[in-house]
Amino acid sequence: MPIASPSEISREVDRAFFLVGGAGVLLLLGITATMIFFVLKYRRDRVTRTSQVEGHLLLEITWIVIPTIIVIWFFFVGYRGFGMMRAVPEDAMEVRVTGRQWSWSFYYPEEKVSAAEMVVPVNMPVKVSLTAPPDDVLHSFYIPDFRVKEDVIPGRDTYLWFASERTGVFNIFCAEFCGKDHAKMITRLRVVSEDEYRHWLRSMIMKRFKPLEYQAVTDPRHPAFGPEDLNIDAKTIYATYCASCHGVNGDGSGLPGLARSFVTAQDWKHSPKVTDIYRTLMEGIAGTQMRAYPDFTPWERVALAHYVRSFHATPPPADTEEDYNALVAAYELDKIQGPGDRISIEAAMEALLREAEADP
Amino acid sequence: MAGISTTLSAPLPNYLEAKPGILSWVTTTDHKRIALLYLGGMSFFFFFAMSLAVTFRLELLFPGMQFLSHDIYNRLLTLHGVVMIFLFIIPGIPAVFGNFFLPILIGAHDVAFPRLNLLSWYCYMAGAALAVVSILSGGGPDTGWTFYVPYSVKTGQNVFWPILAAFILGWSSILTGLNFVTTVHRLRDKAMGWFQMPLFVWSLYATGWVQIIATPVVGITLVMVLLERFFGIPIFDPARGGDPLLYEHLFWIYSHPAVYIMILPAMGVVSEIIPTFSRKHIFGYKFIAYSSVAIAAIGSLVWAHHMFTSGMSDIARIVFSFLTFLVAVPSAVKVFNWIATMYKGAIRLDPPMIWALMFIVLFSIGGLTGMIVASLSLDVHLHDTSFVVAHFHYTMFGGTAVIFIAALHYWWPKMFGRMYRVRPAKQAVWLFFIGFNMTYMPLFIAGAFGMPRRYADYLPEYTVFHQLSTIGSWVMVAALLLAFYNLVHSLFRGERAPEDPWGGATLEWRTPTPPPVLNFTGAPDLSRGPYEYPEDVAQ
Repeated sequence: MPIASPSEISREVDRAFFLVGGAGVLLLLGITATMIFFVLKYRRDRVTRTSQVEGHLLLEITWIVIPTIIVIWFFFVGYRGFGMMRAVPEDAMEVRVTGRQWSWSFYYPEEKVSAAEMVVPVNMPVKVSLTAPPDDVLHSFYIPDFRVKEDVIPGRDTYLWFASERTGVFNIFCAEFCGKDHAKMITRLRVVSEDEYRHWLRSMIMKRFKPLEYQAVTDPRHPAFGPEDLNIDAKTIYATYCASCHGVNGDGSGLPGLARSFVTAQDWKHSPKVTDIYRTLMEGIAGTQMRAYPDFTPWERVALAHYVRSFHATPPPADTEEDYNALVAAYELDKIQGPGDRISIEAAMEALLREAEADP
Repeated sequence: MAGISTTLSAPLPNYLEAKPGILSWVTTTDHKRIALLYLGGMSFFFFFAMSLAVTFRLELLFPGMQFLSHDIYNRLLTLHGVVMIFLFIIPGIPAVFGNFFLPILIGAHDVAFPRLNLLSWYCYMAGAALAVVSILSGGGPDTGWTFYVPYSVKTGQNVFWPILAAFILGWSSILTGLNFVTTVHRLRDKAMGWFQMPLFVWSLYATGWVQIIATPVVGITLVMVLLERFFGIPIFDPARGGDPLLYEHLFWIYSHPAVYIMILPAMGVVSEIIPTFSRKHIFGYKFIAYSSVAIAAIGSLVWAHHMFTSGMSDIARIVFSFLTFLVAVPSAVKVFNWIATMYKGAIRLDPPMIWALMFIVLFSIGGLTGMIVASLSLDVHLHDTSFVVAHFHYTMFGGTAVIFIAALHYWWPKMFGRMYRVRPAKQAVWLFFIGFNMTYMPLFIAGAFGMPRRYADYLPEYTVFHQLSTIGSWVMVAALLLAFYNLVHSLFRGERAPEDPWGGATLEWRTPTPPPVLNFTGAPDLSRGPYEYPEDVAQ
């Protein structure tokens, strides 16, 4: 066992290991020493008489009762550490892990980030939710340094948790035999500082969208805001955030009767103009399940608005000059700096937090 | 069956010479001959499975792949497990030494159902043949000996034959258990009460019950795997609404008691060897006898300790951890009684005794590390690592297989009428002790550092442990080859063995060597108890 244990659980497990293991070594030495002593003392060429002792009740009771007490004690030692392993702290962040033949993938539900590596901040309890696709096989998620392991079962949810007290890189193994490349199902856990974690998260959030060719434009009337010219993958944003209710084809089929269909022209609470959709994305629609998406960039909102309009069966109404001016004034779009820092880490974190609160 | 004649003047022909010819052997109903048939099969499969292990251990000498692919490694590993477990360790001691000596030890002429006994052997050979077929047809399975679903349902590899093999072997096991239990009840000499039975008989009796009760569960489970795989009936596969945890439960409901099927008879043999070579009455007879029954009973309720990380409920994990700890107590009671038996005895370190004493050390290591993996928090860390591999090799190899070899050395003169050379036999024990610990001790450490089991390759930080282990395996194989060569050599060159080479007190030592067809030349002499020795050593 590595001596520098990185977590409270791993220290508890190591203590139990040295206690139970140490008692085992003592017992083994005792048994072996007694045996060797008897062999030497009662060698047949050294004794002329034996003593045909057939048993000793008190001795039997002693070596039944004492081991029973010891094993019950050891049971509680193991139970205590196990209790720690199963009690996930309330403030733990969640990472969802999917095991497949033969790879691991990680998903950060609060930030909606998918990653091929596992990165967590130091000193932060991390709940690892485990599952495998229903048509996959058993795996087991194992981080030796943290002494935690739990099987990954197709179509079922299991979990474990850990909190690292130091930064570093740790092995993650698959511990349940899962076929040909079982021994290759190894990946790394990076435990990093809070700052580094935020930086990593931001880069992952940004990766969620196609990389943006930064253009120093802030006016939605600029041709660069047109649906073709924008280098934003509005389709992916739509698929990620909108399709679950509004349907992949914009017909409201994800949440029938509640989600608006973008195909028809009837009953729009706000109009299908670019500026009105932008407003809806900023503020949501009170009294409905449509919530605000304040963490989108202005460019993403505009691109998304154009994309949503593309579902419209008839040509949707065009925005007027006044509509644009009103939008720019309302959200101070003319004051937004160049897109190079379209959103700061802090703003992103805040936005994500708000999003998490709005969507428990 | 003909009664035995007490008036013959010429010595009865011994069981080896009674009827010559291959045909008389493969149609025999003599329990002693059937025991030798088993011994032949088992020795072959033991060395076969061992050579598989030596091969994949060689692969692990360096990180990275040397001469095997991941795929081939997985298959070798599976085959090693399947053959060792189902063809050697489970049937091992009962089928060979139980068959040969159980009737003799209770003063009977044969087992209760001699023809059923022969059928058991044919089931064993049929199962073994199927296991071999599985290698020849498509390279063998790659699921591990546990056949865990959904992988065993999905893998493109051939799991049909080994599963069918395990199923048929289960029959062999059930029939043997049934035979032994009946024999103990019905054919025990009238003069022999339950507590005058040798302890080896007690252990076979307890084992018999476990075989009868637990084995059908695995048979049914394996059939369910086949139904699912070939007829698409959803039972375990989550993609079709089945439950893989159900399989794990059903599998271990049998396969955990199976480890007691493996170890109990070995413990029985130890309870015979130690008194004989200490010239001492066994210490705490009833406690040893009852502890066998206790192990069989509690051992049937601990299966889910193989599943502490399986995703089953936390309550179940806690309950099974507690029960698992309890089963340590009767095992400890046995060890203490064996040691106490040596107290004030007159000890001779003949080869069977050294093997048995080495068993106590190795099995204690296996048992004490068993307490480590019975602890919930520790098992979460150590489960499915090489720590567990080392733990069960200490109990199963250092335990059962070592006692199989001890029993061979103990009863070899009686079975074959030839005495092996003592010096090489002793050298083999010490060489084995070194090789064994060198092979498996590093795996404990590697496992504690997180080395997962069933890995064809490993990260460089584990190199030193794997290298020690691989080199140790060579030493161990050399020791085994020496021991077996020495035994086989005695068949051709050994001196004739006397009736009672060790001065034992049980009935097999008071019948000619090798025994006659119906075991005794007269009525068995029950005037002396199985552990009665004179106090005066000179007698």
